[in-house]
Amino acid sequence: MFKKKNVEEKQNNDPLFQVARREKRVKIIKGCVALVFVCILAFIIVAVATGDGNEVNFPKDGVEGIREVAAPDKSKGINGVMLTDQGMTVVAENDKLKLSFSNRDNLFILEDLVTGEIFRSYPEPIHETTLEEGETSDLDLYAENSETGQFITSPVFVGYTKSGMDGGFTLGVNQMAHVKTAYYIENGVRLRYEMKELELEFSVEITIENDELVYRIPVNGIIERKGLENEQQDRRPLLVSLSVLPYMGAHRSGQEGYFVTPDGTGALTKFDTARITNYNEYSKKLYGNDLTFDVSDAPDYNNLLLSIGAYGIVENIDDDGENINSAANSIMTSFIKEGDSNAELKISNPGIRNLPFYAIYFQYNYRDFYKLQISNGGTQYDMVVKDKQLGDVEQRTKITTSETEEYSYVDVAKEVRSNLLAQWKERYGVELATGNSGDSPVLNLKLFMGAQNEVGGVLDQVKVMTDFEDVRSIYNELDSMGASDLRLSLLGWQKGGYFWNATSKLKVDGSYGGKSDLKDLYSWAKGKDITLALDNNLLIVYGSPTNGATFRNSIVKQANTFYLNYYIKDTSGVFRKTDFYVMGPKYFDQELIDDLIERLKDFGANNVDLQQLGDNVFSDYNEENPLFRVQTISLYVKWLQKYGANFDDVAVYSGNSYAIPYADIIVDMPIEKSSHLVLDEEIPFMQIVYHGLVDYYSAPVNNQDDEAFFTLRSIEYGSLMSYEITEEKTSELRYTYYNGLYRSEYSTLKNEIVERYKAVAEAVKPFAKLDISDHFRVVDGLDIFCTEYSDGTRVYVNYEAAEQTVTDVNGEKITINAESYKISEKGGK
Amino acid sequence: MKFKKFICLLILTSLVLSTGITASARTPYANYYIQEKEKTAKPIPAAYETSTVIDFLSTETGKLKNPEDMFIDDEGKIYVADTGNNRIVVYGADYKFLFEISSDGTYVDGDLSALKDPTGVYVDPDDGAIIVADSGNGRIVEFTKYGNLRYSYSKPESDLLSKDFSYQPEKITKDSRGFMYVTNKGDSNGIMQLSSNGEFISYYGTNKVNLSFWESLAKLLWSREDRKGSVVTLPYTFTNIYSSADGYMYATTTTETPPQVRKINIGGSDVLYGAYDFRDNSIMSSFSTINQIFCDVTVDKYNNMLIVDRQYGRIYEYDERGNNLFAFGTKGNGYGQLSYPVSIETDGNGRVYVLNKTTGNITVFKPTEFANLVHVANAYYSDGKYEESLKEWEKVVEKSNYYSLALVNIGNIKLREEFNSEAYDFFYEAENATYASEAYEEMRADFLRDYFSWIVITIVVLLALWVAVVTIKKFRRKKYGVPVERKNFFTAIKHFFGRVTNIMRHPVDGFEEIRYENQGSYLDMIAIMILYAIVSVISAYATSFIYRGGASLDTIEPVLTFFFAFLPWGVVCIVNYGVTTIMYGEGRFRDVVIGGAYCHGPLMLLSLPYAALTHLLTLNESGIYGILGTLLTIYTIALVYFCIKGIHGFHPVKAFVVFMLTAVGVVAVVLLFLIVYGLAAQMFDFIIQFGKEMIYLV
Repeated sequence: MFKKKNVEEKQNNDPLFQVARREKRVKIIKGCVALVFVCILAFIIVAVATGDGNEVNFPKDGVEGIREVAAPDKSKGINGVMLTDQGMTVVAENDKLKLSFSNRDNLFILEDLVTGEIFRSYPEPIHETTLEEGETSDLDLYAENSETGQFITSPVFVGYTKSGMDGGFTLGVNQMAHVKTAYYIENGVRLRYEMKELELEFSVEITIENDELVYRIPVNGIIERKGLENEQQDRRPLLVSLSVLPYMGAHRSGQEGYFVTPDGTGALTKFDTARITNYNEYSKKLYGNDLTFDVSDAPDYNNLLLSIGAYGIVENIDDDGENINSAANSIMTSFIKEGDSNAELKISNPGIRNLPFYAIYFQYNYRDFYKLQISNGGTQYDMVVKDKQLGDVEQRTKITTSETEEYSYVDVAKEVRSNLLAQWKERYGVELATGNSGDSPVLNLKLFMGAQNEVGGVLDQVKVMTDFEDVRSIYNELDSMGASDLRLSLLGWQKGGYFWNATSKLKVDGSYGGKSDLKDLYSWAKGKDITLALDNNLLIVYGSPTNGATFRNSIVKQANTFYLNYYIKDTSGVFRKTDFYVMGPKYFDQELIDDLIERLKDFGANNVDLQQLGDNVFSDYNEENPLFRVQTISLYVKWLQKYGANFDDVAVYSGNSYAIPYADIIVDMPIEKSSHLVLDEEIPFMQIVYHGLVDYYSAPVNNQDDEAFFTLRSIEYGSLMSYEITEEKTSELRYTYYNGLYRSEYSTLKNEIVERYKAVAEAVKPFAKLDISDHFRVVDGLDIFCTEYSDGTRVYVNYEAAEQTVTDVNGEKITINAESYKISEKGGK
Repeated sequence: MKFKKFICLLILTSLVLSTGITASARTPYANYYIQEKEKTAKPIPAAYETSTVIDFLSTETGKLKNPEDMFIDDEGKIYVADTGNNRIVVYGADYKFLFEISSDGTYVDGDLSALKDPTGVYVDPDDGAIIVADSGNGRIVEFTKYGNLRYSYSKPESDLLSKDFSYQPEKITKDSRGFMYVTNKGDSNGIMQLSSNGEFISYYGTNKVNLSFWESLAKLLWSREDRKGSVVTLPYTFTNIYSSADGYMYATTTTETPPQVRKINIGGSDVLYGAYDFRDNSIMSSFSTINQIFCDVTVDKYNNMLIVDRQYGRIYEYDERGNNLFAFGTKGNGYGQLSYPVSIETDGNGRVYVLNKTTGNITVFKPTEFANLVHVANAYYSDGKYEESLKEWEKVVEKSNYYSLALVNIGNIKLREEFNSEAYDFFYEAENATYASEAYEEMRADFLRDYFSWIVITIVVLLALWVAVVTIKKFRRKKYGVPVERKNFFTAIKHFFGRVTNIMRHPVDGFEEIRYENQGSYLDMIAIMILYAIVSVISAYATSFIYRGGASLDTIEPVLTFFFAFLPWGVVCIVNYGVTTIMYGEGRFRDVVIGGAYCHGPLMLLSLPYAALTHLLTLNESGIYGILGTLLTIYTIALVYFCIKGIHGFHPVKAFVVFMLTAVGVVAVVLLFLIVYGLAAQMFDFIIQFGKEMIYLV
């Protein structure tokens, strides 16, 4: 032992030995480093080779096929199959409708048995032999081998991608190689398409039920990559979208009639309007863009929501009793019963695709494309997602005809309303009825409390624009001036102000008075029976995740694996570069909502305004909490139920239809349409559908481009009004992100608030519980409109710069002042 | 279901011409103005709303095809250079087709001499003559107001024009003297000035060459011979011209940097608000990387200039003094959005017409009540009708609470009426320091006038008190001797400041004592630097509005300011220690950092009074402020020099050399930092991109 120690000591003192030992250590370290690199490389190679390392496993609810493909009716045809060259054949008939189909011509004809009105799945060509004065034949368009002919006559439009990274194409099914089999089924036909080149099979079912034409696309009938399921997913064809009978109800330019769409407040597309040249098809996703996919560098000024999955086609015989192809006045009201989460409304006008038609239809998106740009300045690819996002689809079109009655968009809206009521009952078990609304105050005063400066400020304190004490004094003053029935809604009351980080713990900012003052304010409000609501941002993370939330577990990811940024629109119409994000709905559901509700209740809150739930639906590709839009909607509904159970009044923004059964109030309800050139005229479509079921307020009037017009429009549309006010000067907000206001200081607005309060109290509030029974332009060429409520009261609104006199239906002359309104009480009775 | 309505109009109390919804609750574009200071976008109500879109689809002549230019005469008639259809189309004020000109009516080789790619049109206000830049045929053609040929001016000849001169007139206008002004495609010599007979007179308003820094350097260092073969930078060319009634020529140019728009007087000089950069910072600071392209300019009846940007579809309106009144519009295909604007005009009603090339239509905007208020108020103001102007401006502020032009003009009117304090408040709200200074000067004069005797009395009393205190102190010392100092917190602070001021007063000895007598301490160093940082922040807030240049307190970044206070100290100390190590300095690192901290003494003690001083001064006395600031800086720099000398025991000359080397070293470190930062950013970006790629692939 002693000897060994000696040797060690000797070796330790030997410089050569030490060098050798150091070299040995270096070698070992080098070896280890090399081994680590090799391991990493091998891992990457293996991972890349096997792929799908970051596979996102979506839940299946809402996208699974519930319905089986309809079985062939073997009593008809050859064992249920229709001959390929079979001409027009009646495939279904009931006491109201008769549906015929020509397998050879791909033509469906629907006949109303009462009036004889015919509806074709594509417009009849103008033949040389039937030319009327001023007409030219367009038979060439229908040529079987022409692109237009194949397109128009296609019963289905198919969106597909060939490589998965080409951005996709949409063609009529007849433009592509396919094998079609038509099966007789109960009440109609099932068309089955096999498209070998696209490795795709799908079925669409077209039937009649009572007075409705029904399209169904069972998801179980869609088979992709048959026999190739286990092959590598990349660079193979995939189904992107389907549209059924897209040219059903298509019209030529100059014909009487119009399309009715729920864009924004609602809009008409008239067939007889001299149209500004437009080659851009109207295309809008129902319930708004999907932030996860529709990422844009600049805000879209045509972004008003499509909140209801419906459209209408109105056609009336003109004054001299003539209208091409029409035997009677008619409306077709299409309504999505299933598949609304991923529906997209399309409207074409003559000129688009070199076709002379107006066409309207829903496209059902099974997949979306996302942008992939790996390096800055590199090529950007439009990549398709792998998973299908949509389950069964069912669209029902009600046919209404009359030889005597003239129809309008009001009839379409009423039909949509009854469809929605039925849908809410079926989906959610909620029965709404007229009179459900009407309890909300006359005016919604949004009191903006404060926000932090963009940079600095004194120790990043919130810029206090209104505090809790101000809220009280503002109300008291307005009350003393005669405006007492007010709804007070507090914005930006949270710690940090308006741009509160939604992942953080909900607290009241001390600079407004803190939690105790808020509680006092609520006690005061409850004592005076004032509706006081707290505005809540639920899902936008202004800042980085905190309070246990991490990017990985809480932030919405795009399909390209990047976290979804949330950009704020700048005053100058561009997006600002901000590090804001969107919270995954699942994370909110699992981690935050219960605590949030408890805290709100602890503050004494009994009314809440909820952001996002009524106006913002998106997908989430975060591996931790993936969601399709349909699942996001389910969560929203669940939350609305929860909030509804805990608070007196729950308000949502904008008013997507799925939110209405649980929302007591809609705030910022649009009263304008988008500016797309295919939309000709604004109509109160949404209002006719929702009036009497839910109270709604238009957006704050004091920052509208034309306040006088906006006020009249609110009155015309039966909309309660809003103001957004601050106690401090508006300019105090100019260095915050909330810098879009230019007119909000209470002291300068109070007189006009009272004035408008009186107008709304007189012309809107008394009718809030009623249905809107009619709405029309009183005189052609003049901007005088009439809104009629179900008790017969009529509200006339004159936008003209001069006083106008009209005669009411009962013969009474009514004079309406310039840019004013007049109420004709129960004039209809 | 409802039956046809039998409601009819009985009485029309006025003639109504509108055929659709005449107003809209919402404009499909942003509405804002650019605040002069910082050139940021501020919100306003819509200034213009879409009146109509003239599509010409229903006219008998069909649609316009790639039109390039438009002119609106005094009667409101619209003349369009329908370039793609090789014609000039004339529409009435009601937008109905009147006639077209597709040829000059003469025959060449049996064929009609047709217009070819006409890209410019101008109408003489005197006789209605239609003058066309027939670009494809390389000529100017003048027609009568009925479209009959009057003159045709082919390529001008002149000794002043080069032999290889290429002539392709693009835009044309005329001045009150009858001279024609023509932009020639690709001609960088300027606008061609032609006589009324089409003879070339000279080039007008020639643009300058915009050289980059490196191009200027190359020109300076290399001879013409050396530069042979390299790319020649030519002056930018003109893209559009407009002659205003008051004799100015407005022009847009191809350059993306100033001057994108020029206002040229009769002598050919630019008179447009100096080298104003028309780029919209608010757009350029977003995701956009492409510069704006201002493609046309026009002047309205109020002499306001409107320019249109082709890239983003924005229209900007400026008044005669260069204030941006409004900015609005967006690129797009919606109603009221601009698809590809190429020409802008206004009519006598204040409507703005924008010609879209790709869609071949004209978007017509009409001024809103807000725009009319601003126009009228500004016109009154320019005409010196201040009382009328004030009423209108007050209405403007009611509609847009912090529209700065309104606030400034109200302030100026109030100032004229000697409501100085009110005027100051308006200037403060408008963040305009220059005018606020004027108001403050008046306020100060008023104050001095009112309270002069009180001020004098106060000063005298204070002086007397001071003398009394000193005298009493002296007396007490004489009688009782120097009082024994008790050790407590206050005496510690007193000694701390004593040490700081001692070094400020005796820097030579003070710094030597730090090195050789171990004076100074880390505690002092920390205290000085933290106090200095705090003072920096407080000074930033304490500086008056006028001397902050009108900047809001909200724009101050206190945290950044606090930490930035340490930066120069840190860099200088490190560099100096490095330099003095090489130069055999005797100072230790401890001495360098402690000495460096003591150098901040003057800044620490005097910054606050210096900031407080700004509350007494107006911009007219900015000289005093500047001198004091310079003295403070010199004092601090001198302390740095004495610090180097004292701590390292250098000879004064050597100390100076080391001082200079330290300065050079600091510059080098900053440059190095910038380079390293740039490379690191790229490296970081590379790693991020690589990571993203891996994440995506894996």
